[in-house]
Amino acid sequence: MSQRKEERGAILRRRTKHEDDLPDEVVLDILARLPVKSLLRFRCVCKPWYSSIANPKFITTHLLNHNHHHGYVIHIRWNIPKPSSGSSPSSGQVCTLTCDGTYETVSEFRVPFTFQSGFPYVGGSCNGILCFTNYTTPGSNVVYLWNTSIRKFKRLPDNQFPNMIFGIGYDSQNNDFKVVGISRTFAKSKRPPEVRVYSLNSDSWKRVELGISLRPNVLYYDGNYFKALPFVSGHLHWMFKMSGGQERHSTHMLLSFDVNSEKFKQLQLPDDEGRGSCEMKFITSFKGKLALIKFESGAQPHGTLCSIWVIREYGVIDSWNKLCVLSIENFNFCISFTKDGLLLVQKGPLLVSTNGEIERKYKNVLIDPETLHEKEIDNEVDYRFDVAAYMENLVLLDGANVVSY
Amino acid sequence: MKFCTVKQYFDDENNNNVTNGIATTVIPLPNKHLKIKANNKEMEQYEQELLRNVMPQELTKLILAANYLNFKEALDFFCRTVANAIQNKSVDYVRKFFGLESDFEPGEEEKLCKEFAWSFEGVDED
Repeated sequence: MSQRKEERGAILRRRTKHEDDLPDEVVLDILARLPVKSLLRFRCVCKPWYSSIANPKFITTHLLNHNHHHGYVIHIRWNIPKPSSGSSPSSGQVCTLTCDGTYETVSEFRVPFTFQSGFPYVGGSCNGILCFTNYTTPGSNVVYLWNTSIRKFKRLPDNQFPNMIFGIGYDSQNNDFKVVGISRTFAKSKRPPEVRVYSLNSDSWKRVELGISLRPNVLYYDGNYFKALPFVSGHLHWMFKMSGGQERHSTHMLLSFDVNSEKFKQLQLPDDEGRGSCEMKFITSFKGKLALIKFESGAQPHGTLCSIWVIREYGVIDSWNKLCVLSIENFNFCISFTKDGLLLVQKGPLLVSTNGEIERKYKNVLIDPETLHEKEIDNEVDYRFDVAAYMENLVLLDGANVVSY
Repeated sequence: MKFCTVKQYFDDENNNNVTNGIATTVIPLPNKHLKIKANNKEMEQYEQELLRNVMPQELTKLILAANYLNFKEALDFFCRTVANAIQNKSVDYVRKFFGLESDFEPGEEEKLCKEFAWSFEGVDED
């Protein structure tokens, strides 16, 4: 966010003071309650309003007033091309904006930027700012920050990144957004991990030490399967899988990054999570808390067992709580939790016969972990997709290299 | 508490910020608030009733009164109402409402309007 001089005095009135004029604090109070569309338009009212609306303090106050879900942005990733057609990964990236709760489509829009290579996915989102990155060959990682509510995006300065996993978090002490990347694969001495931290306030990257002792002869690699990295309790989290090494006690490593202090810590995983090898686990957020989801084959032929753990109290040892174990039929992949704690999963493929032709159908379902009630959502997405919370805010309103569309 | 300023106001003969009409609107609010504290919906309905016949411009006077009386709940409510009232209005309407004039150079304003063209869609007619 750009630095602006604090304007003093009668900043919002331009003619001679009238008895009936509202005091500045009151006018700002009113403005901070308005939706972003109104504020963008009202920047044209007069020069003091133009700069007040882009003032970092105002942006923060506005964010606090609008710090609730307005809906979700669904980003449809590169679909596996059907045999007859070929589609390039970076074209046709469509996003839909959907309502909270029902997931009904409100509008559709394209991703306003493209990646030259690899496939794009949402690395994380924070206060409505989406962090887009691409999985590709080393050296070609690009990161974009996108504020869908004001139609602005910013390509972060290029850096010869090794292939990295990026996430985004908010530094409350400095009122700053930070994007953090860790090497997707690393090993103690042969391939030491690299860490890069980007600060929006300074619009620059810097290197940071991981500072975690790594096991010898172990290869650490991405364990979160291109799911958005959870930003919870002021910390960003990564999950790495481990292979090699002599100890068979742990197969995964959970790392946390304190966005304020910029320090890493290794976190404990739940004790009772089992050691099965045919399993997939990843971390995500559940109602503002860190959660671990594990999938393994269930008893029935098409059944998958899904176990969910949630951290009861962040920072406290042994605070993992097993929430539930769900049995899901025809499970294809898991997306994320809604703000109300429903698990969004994709089921399929189900072979459906329409007019004599066999089609493979997928359906997207919301599962309530407590009641086990399932509800299909009507969004007709057959491909892998990311879901990010849509929140109105003015971050990226003014700044270097910010593009409007 | 809230009532000290009210007494002071009535004692202060030089104060012409608050007219009779406003006194009847703002002053009863604290009592009503205490009575239906927990019930938000009832409060909302009461407030809608109160302001149904008040023109947006009158709200400015109400806000000044609430501000002077340091009556936070009323101020919050009035600001919320103004925000709802102006949210979909044009730039000109808002200028008139707050008594502001454009101080942009001739071409500047047009350039700005173009940059955020989409935010001008679906705005209420003046």
